[in-house]
Amino acid sequence: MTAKSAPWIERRLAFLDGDEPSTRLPKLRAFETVVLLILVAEYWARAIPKWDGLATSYVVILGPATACCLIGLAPRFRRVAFAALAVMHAMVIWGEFPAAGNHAYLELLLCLLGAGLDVTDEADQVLFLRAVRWLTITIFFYAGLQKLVHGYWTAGQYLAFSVWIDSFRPVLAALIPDDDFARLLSFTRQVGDGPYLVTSPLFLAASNGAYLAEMVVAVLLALPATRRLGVVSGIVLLLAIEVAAREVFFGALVVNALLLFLPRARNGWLVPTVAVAMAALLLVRLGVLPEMKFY
Amino acid sequence: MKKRIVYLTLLALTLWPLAHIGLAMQYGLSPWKLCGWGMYATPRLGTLGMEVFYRDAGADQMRQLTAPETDERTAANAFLERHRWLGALARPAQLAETVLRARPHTEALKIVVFRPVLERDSGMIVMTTTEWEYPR
Repeated sequence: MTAKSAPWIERRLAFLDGDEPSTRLPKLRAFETVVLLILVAEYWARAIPKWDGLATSYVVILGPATACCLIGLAPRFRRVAFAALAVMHAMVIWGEFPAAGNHAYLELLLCLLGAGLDVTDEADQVLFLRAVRWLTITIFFYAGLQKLVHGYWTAGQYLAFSVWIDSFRPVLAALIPDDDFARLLSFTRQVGDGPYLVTSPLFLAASNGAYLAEMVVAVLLALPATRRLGVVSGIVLLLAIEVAAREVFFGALVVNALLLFLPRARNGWLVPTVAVAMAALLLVRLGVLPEMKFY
Repeated sequence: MKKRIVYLTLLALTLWPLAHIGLAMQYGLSPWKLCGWGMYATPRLGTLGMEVFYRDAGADQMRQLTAPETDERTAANAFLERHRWLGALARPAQLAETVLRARPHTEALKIVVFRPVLERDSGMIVMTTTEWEYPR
């Protein structure tokens, strides 16, 4: 397919390229390995705290999903493993619909890419990289836009309300004046409680800065000249969000995707790092390591 | 073919969140779910409440259903869970059918869902109610 005959969308997304060709394969291999490590850890992290309350479908899937993640670590079986994982993940989403989280859809999409594209094929490499990069840009952009249009961040209502959440409280204590903080803490989330409003400039700057930062990161990632800055800003922003939100699996997936924006293969270190982190999270769930809240 | 599928999927995933925002504003669909990437856009409050009222043949007034059968309770929980995330896009037709089937003398049903929400402008938690009526 020549550049002229390529579908318009393909030409539109060509701005996402810019890799040194020899770096594509190692970059994608590392990316896929990290996805598999996150998936296997997440399957078990969701299972361990509620052994007795697990849905039968989840119990049935747990063993095969684990096997697929482990088998998939070998590159020659990877596409088959991703295909099976995509089917199982779709079953989980279907079973939980409409309550399945957005990270489950992201994981399903990544499994489908891993199953459908051959990372040893040059054209597929380009397609894979474009797809993950564009997905990442849309996630950042819409995460910010949704906060803006629904209007719970412009006057800080969302964060003021979130004082009751353990992991948010220490962060918010640093942003909210003491008297407002005590007032918000006195609420029990009952009808009639409120107002969940804080007028401190620092707090309002943080609340509005959150969604603006997400949309700015999307723009920085999209522009070739600012892509590196976008990667660094995106990771810093994610770390800041995760201090409160603790959505570690989603966060790790997005960091993994962010590193794929770098023109050289800079994501190899993420494989052992994520392996150790995921093992640590499972040890937390098993009670071997001290309790820590994460999702 | 492969390229076409990937690019069309990307296009759909790019446009879907815009539709998602529209559905959230129009029907109360939760920004948190369904691949619209609106996690943390709105606060999530506690559990939803529900009351079911029925009017039997010959009766003037509706009476509250206070002792639901197991399948009625199951249908009610399933509806509430869908309604929590899908808002007005989830309607209690299945629940109504279950209740009407279990109560052959019932002529009409009213299902009321109570949902606490954080009002955006006032910052206050208020209770909202949504009602559906099902004549037999």
